[in-house]
Amino acid sequence: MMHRRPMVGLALVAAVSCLAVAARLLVVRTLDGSFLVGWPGPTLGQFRGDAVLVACAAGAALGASGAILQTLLRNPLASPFVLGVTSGAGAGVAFASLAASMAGIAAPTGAALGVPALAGALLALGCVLLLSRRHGALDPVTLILGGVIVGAIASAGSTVAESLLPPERRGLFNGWLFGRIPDVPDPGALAACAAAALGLTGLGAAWGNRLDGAALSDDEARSIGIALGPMRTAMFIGCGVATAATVALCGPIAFVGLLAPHCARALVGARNRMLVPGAALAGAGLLTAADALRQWIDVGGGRLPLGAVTAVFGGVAFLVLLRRTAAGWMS
Amino acid sequence: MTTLRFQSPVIVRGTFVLAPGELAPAAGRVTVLIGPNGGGKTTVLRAAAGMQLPEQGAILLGGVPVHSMPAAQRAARMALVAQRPEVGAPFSVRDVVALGRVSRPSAPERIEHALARTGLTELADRPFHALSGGQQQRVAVARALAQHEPGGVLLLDEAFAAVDPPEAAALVREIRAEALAGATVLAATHDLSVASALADDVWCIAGGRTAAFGDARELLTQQALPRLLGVAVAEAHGARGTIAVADYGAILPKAPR
Repeated sequence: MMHRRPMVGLALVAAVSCLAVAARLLVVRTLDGSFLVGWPGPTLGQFRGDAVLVACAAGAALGASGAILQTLLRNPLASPFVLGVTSGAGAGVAFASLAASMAGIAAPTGAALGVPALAGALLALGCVLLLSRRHGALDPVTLILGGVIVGAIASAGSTVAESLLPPERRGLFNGWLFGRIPDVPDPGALAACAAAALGLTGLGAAWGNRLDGAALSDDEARSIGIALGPMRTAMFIGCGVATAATVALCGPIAFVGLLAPHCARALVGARNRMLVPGAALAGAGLLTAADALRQWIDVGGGRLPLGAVTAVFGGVAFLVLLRRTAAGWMS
Repeated sequence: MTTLRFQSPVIVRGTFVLAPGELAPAAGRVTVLIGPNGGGKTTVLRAAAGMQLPEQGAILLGGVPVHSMPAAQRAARMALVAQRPEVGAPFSVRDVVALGRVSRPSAPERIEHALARTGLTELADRPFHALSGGQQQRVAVARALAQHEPGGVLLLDEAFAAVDPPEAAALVREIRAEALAGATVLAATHDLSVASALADDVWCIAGGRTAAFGDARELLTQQALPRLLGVAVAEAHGARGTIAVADYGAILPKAPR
């Protein structure tokens, strides 16, 4: 299906995401298992409003990053989580906390988590890109395998770092390693994530035509006038910053960055000028919807962790995409 | 008029010594690159497009070393069709052709014109990846035509290799029209029929060196080609005069009568 009216598609993505936001704000499952619909009053309203803001900022950052990475790497399976960038950022935070503990100083919190998260994100992305270079080009299969391996090593590193922390310092990691919406979000971290999401979306939309050109082979992309090296560097750093800001706010969240661009592409088409904003909106909607689902499903032991919801749904969708796209536009 | 000039470039750690002395494909003519596989045709085209830096000598586009030109400035004077078109996103045919204008002033009519010239108007809204290999090559040529400005340089690397004969003939017509309008065309092909139809001049490259450079009427002949390409050649009478075709039958054992 090709898209002559991407603006209509974009409006549709926005509408569906607004529905997810409304559902999270207005629908709640009570302790006896019944559903209540309505505005919950100032205190709970504030709590849900914060959760929506966090989910929208983090989801938008991941969605925009995923769309840009899929275009730049010419790979429909690319996303911050699949490429190990999310786990790398998580490991950066974990090791910074361990280092702070060993030095006997306070662990970084809030927006300050963004610094080690960014270092970890860029280190992981750099490793994956280096691993997957073959004869000067990126091998699509090695790229995904390298991302999975680097992500697994980084996750294991986070677990090791956490286990080495003294028990009183493990509070930060309570649920964080699997991704969660904080009950009381740090305002600095939230502002940083929202700014990163807006900035990356704006950059991706403004450079949309050039990003489109990067879908060609390296030689042809350069021949149509794209300064491929500088653009790739700027975009990779932008995606690293956005992912790191998300991890500082919510911890590592799986698969939203993979799914959001595919949802958006189905409605707004593949041109990046519309796709990147569409993927940001879809990411915001997806993460808000996952958070709403988490509130509504009780498997007996209380509410599900957010990371588990996105991983279960996202993991299944990843397998479907893998089968569908292996013979498609993955070169 | 943009001139393309090879000043004794040495490329790839001295393995490819492309042109002893100066060599310049003429503007307003089609120069066809022929030669054995791995002989250096693609290297010449990549170097001409500024993708490969000569270690000695220079390749000049309008008097400026081509590899040092900013990408957008180079794109205004030179278009390239690579050997295998790659599109790593689910774009429509029209989207791909429109990429030719990414760093150029927007010109929707140029895109539609390029689609029409390559017979792709009907396929314009189809996904690029749903097309056959030959159709995808036509899309790549259309993209280059949309980008190309009159008097510029057009580089084609086996651009018709998978295209069927009627469509290849139509592409030959369009490429020759660009040359007549003043373009410098440098096109690699291993197909002698395409070479005969397309060429004004022939540049034969073998083992990374220039084996011959000159008028097509002298080089695409039964006398010159066996020496240059190592293949028996038959001649046929075509619309552009005598044309050379590879005579594969010449090496078959004779059937007993």
